[in-house]
Amino acid sequence: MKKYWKLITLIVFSVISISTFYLVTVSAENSYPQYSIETRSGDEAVIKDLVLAASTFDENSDYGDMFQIKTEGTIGNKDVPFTQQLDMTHQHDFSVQKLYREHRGFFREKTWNMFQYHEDEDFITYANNFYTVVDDYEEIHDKLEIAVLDKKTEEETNFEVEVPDYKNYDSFYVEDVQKSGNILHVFTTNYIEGETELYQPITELHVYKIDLDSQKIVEDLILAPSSDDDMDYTSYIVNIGSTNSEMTPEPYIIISSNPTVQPETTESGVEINPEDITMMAYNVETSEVSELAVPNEFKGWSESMYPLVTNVQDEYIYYTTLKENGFEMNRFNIEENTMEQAQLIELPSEVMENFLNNPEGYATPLVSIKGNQICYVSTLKDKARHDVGIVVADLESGQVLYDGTIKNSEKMNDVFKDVTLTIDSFMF
Amino acid sequence: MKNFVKLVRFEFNRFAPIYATLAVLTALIQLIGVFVTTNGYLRSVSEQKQSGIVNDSEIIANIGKMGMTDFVNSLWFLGPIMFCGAVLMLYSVFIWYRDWLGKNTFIYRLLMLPTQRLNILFSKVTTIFLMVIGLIALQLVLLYIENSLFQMLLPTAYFNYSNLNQMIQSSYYLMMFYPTSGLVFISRYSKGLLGLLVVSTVVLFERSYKIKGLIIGVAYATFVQLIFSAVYFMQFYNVMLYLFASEIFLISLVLTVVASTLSIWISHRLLNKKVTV
Repeated sequence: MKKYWKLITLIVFSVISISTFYLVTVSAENSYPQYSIETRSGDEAVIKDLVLAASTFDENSDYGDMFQIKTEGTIGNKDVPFTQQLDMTHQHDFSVQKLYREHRGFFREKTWNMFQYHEDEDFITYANNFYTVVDDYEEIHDKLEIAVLDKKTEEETNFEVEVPDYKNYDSFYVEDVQKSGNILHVFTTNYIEGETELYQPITELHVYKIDLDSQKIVEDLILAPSSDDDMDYTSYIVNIGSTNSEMTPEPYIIISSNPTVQPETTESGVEINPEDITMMAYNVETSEVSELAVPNEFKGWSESMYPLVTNVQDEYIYYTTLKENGFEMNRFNIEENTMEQAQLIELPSEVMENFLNNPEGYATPLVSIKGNQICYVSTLKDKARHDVGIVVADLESGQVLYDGTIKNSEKMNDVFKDVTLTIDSFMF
Repeated sequence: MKNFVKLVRFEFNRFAPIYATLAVLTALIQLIGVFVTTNGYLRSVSEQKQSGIVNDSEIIANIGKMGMTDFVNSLWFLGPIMFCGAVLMLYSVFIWYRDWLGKNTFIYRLLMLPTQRLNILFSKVTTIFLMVIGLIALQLVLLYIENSLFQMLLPTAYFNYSNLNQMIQSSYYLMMFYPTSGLVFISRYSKGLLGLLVVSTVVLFERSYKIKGLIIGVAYATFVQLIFSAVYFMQFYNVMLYLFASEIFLISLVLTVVASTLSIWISHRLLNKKVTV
């Protein structure tokens, strides 16, 4: 044994050192911050299904991570099965996780952008620009790749369709997918040939209606043209980013068509007169397009309209305005084409502080609607005393059902206590 | 088994003085690096104060804090690691040739030992592997020591404390050496072990067939490399990822076992039937 002391010392030292590292140091508490949800008022059962997708960043160490926060605590890399750790699905949209879990074969070889999917009772449908080689970006990509999964039989059908008049465009991107009966509605933003290099590119919003039986494009509708006699336009789909789940069917697609004014430099901003903005609704069932009589103060696209947040849900557009004494809810009825009476969801000022007093870039809270409940989540927690607030209210009565905040858990390692926490999305 | 352990001890003791020197040098250079880096940083703080900025937070806003997350990307830290890696890589070849090219042709005695000749291969590969793991373990301990040293030398306001995970995540090379999962660690170092086996096979080809053997050996090593790379190339050139990362992991594990078995089998045949003294 004496003759082997060097070898034994090396082996014992290595085993102890490395196994301690993996058993202790790389535990969940030492790998990422631990948070908990603290109730201030209301019933915790209201948020039992709440899942917040969060990310953190520490400017001192350049450390960052992504995880989920639920009522049970923080769910990160160390809390999921090994295969999910490698595939990192828990750091993506909830719809991504659902597809990965339930229809892995169909999910193979497809993007993880959930707006390109549509799910109903019987089918999951997917649409994408068709390209295969990463370095061949100059090749003409004028096809749409369509995939349809029959959920009962697990049979997958794949086909391509050529986009008509592609010579007029530089490129196009799939923005949303809806389905009515056997017709697939693929919404795309098409960049006009020769106009892509401008500070504000000129775009056209299309819907390609594809018959899933004949596997052909049956209609190409221009929902928002790129220009008219007076000016150029850039158009957006308002639904994107404002719904609970990107895959669920939506009866109306709301479009905002904004006049495009080229700024003098990339740094200079441009003022747009809301009167020049056109809001439209595309009825997925009938393919009818109607102009919406949305009041000027609510027009536009939600991200640029702080302190206003826009949500599209079924036949309504909900506008949340942040006030010092609560959330003012305005609801636009798409079918009636009228704005309904406003309702205030009253909250004390100390709750609204979490939603109002944030630095630029974190100002817009996240809002989601489920049934007759609405949930608001502010997006920043940092050492400058900003906190993430969670409020759930009844849409009809305006009653606050739950009010809470995210706090550092007792299990929080001291090294993480000052990191900046950002809420990226949530589901409830 | 007893003969294998004896051979490992023998191989390790032959290189132990140089190995100990590598370990001591790594520790010394990195610790000196901590002192040099700290002094340089404190000098920058003084310069800020001399230019009229007396507020700590203002100074920190200008030059940042100092700690391990900055140090782990410096030459003081990475230099010794790279040097040790280069020495061990060279020795993984030299461990064979020293037995052939020394004053007394020692390989003759090794081949005449009353033991399976495969033990010679296993003992050499195991020795190098243990030395690599030893340095990996030493670096973990050094990370703690260096972090404590920074904490002692720097004023609290200027010290950027980070835990071991954060230190590792702030360096690409440390993330390679210390993956976050124990299973990935085992997989990654198994590939390292396979690399050592392939190098040994190339050497044995050369020793068996001279120049022709060297060409065959290099072709074999290239073949193994291509098989592993094929899975990753498929993903790279096909933008839509057909295989999930977990599936690639499983495939590479299987390929590691298959390639290792193949290398051992080829080395076994060469040692028993072809190697010349």
